[in-house]
Formats: sequence, structure tokens, C-alpha cells
Amino acid sequence: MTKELITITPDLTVRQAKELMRTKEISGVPVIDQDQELVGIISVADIFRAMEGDNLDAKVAEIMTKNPVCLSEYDTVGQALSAYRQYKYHRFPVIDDHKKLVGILTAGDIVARLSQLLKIDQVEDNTEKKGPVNFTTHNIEYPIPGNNFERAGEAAGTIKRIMTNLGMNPSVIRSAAVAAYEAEMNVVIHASQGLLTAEITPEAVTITVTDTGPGINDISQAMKPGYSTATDEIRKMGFGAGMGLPNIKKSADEFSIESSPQGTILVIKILAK
Amino acid sequence: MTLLEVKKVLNATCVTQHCLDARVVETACGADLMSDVLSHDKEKAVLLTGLIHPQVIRTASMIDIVCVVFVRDKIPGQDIIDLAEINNIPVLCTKYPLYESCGLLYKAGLGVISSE
Repeated sequence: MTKELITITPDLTVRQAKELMRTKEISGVPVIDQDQELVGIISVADIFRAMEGDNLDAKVAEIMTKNPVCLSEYDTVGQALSAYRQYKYHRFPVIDDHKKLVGILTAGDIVARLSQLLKIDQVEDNTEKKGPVNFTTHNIEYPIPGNNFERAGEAAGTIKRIMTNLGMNPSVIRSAAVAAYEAEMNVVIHASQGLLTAEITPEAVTITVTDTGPGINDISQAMKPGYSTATDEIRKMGFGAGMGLPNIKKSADEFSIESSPQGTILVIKILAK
Repeated sequence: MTLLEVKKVLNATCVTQHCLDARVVETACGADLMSDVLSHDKEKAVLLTGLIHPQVIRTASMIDIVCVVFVRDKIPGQDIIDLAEINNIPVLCTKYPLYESCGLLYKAGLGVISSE
């Protein structure tokens, strides 16, 4: 929940409440009395109703929702979800045993917490286990259309998602994602079309990226950090920094590259240490 | 440092739904070139950039960037915000330029290199 609270008192005018909500970019605000006890809540919808009734100089106490539905600070995320389903409100004040306001819970807060529980915590959990990962070999094949920046990154994203679901070591996933993404971007930037294949085993990830040309003129130059043949248009999009191949090499345990005018073949192997 | 503190230090606006949560950042990466971002090898980082492009979010997701900050009053388009929401990456916008943004976060203690 959000503990940094913006509140108002019931004796303010609706106009003042409207101004506060506009400047703070919030769509609802709890109303508390002098003892910090929650007495109501006012939303944008309440403000609109007051505006329609030319009632902006009325006191907040007159138009606020009194005795709003609250959550207790001891409620679980599950109980909060039930409240959302039942009442369909966008936010719930959270109160302590003395009915004092201690926070506001929004749908965004719940999504963030669930994301932590479902994704981030899961990754951390896998980090701690570090045991042998058991699965059969996974093969991925992903076509890469050249010059298509809308889809660029999909192949690398797929590899990352599959490896995460397989419970592989996060540092291995990160290395594979970076290497695959850089290789994919190289195809998008320089080639007319390409293909990314990946073989994921419990021991290693092998990523092979091939394209149909025009090939790399001077591989040793291309391996130097900062060397780039990308156009200004590509650079404006944040690419072509001349770090693609050096980044791939840095991420890989084994790396090979062959190139001719007919195309380039890149093989990247990352060991699942 | 929590994302809420990052937001405060940079006097930033959050443009995604999930912003004021408990996620913590331990370092920052300031860059407009995505390959420079991909070579960043520290975890729990906030990315500060002046580049407005969906690939910023894709790049951030590859290395598990915790939060993206667009500097110099640049506002991302809805396509970028939607992509960030899908990838569960909060996005902040600040009026400070990249250099000042990095400086402010460093001064506030983010990613400070120990003298020991």
C-alpha cells in the first residue's frame, strides 16, 4: 500500500479538494478529522457531480462518501482482492485498530505485490536452490525479419522467458538474453533476414544466429568496442554503438563467427554453471 | 533506495500504474545507447535515459532493470507505457537532464562506491 498519504479535512471546500487532486495528479483522497480518524473519501466522480450542481463552494463533508469501505492493515492480499471484486472501487483506505488512516491500497499496489510473489520471488527462490535443473532439451527457432524494429527483441525475449520458466540460474539467463538480443539486433540492423535457433539443455544454452547477408567486411574491426557501420537513423534509435559483438563475446563462454557476402553465422554457447 | 525515494529525489512523475511499490534499487545506469545499457552488469538497477523508444523497455527487460526514468522532460508514448506495463517495469519522467539526474541519485546515496 502507499504510506505517503495525501489527505484533506472535511471543512475544506470542494474547490480546494479539486485543486489538490489536480496538482497532485490523484483521482481520490481520504478525508480525516483532527484525530487523524478516517471520516470519508472523495473521488473525481464526487467532484464532477459537485461541478454539475454548481456546488464547488460546498464543504467536502457535504459531498464526500461517508463511512467508506476500508481494509485493515492486517488484511491479506487475498482479502484485498476479494474487496476489489465485491465493491469495484479503485482504492481502499487502510486503517489501524483505532480507525486511524495508515495507508491507501490501489489496484496497482496489488498488481505489484502479486508480480513480486509470482515472478520476482520465484526467481530469487530459484537462485537460492541452485540445484541441478532437470528438463529435456528445449529447441527454439525464431525467424528475424530485417529492418523490423517493432518485433526486434522478441526472439531474445522468448529465450529469456523459457529459461526463466525452466528455473535456470538468473545470471545464465541474463547472459543468454543479452547475447541473443544483441545478435538479434545485428540482424535487424544490418541484414535482410535471419534465423535464431537456440538449444537449451540443463548444461548449456547454445544460440545460433544466421542471416542472408550482406556479411561483415572486417570481423576483427567489428569486434573492437565502439566500431560501427550503422547509419545515423539506427543510432537515433539507440543502437549501432559498436558494442554488439563485444557484448556478445563478453556474455558467452564460447563464441564463434563466420561471415561472407552470402551471410553471417554466429554461434554463442553459455554454460549453465 | 526505494522507487518512492527515487521519485522524490528526481521530483519525477510516474506514468505507469505500478510505481509506488516496495521494489528497491541499488545502483543506476545512465545511457542513451542500448548496447551500453546491455553491458551494464550490476543487478537491481534503475535505468536513466533520454532515448524515447520501445526498445528502451525491451532492453531494460533483458537485464531485469527495476525502473526506467526518462530524463529532460521527455514523455514516452502510450506504446512505450503499455510495453512497460506488460513487462512490469515502472516508468518515471523527470525534468532534470541525464547528468543531473545521475548526480542527484548518487548524491542521495544510490550506487555510491565505498571508499574502503
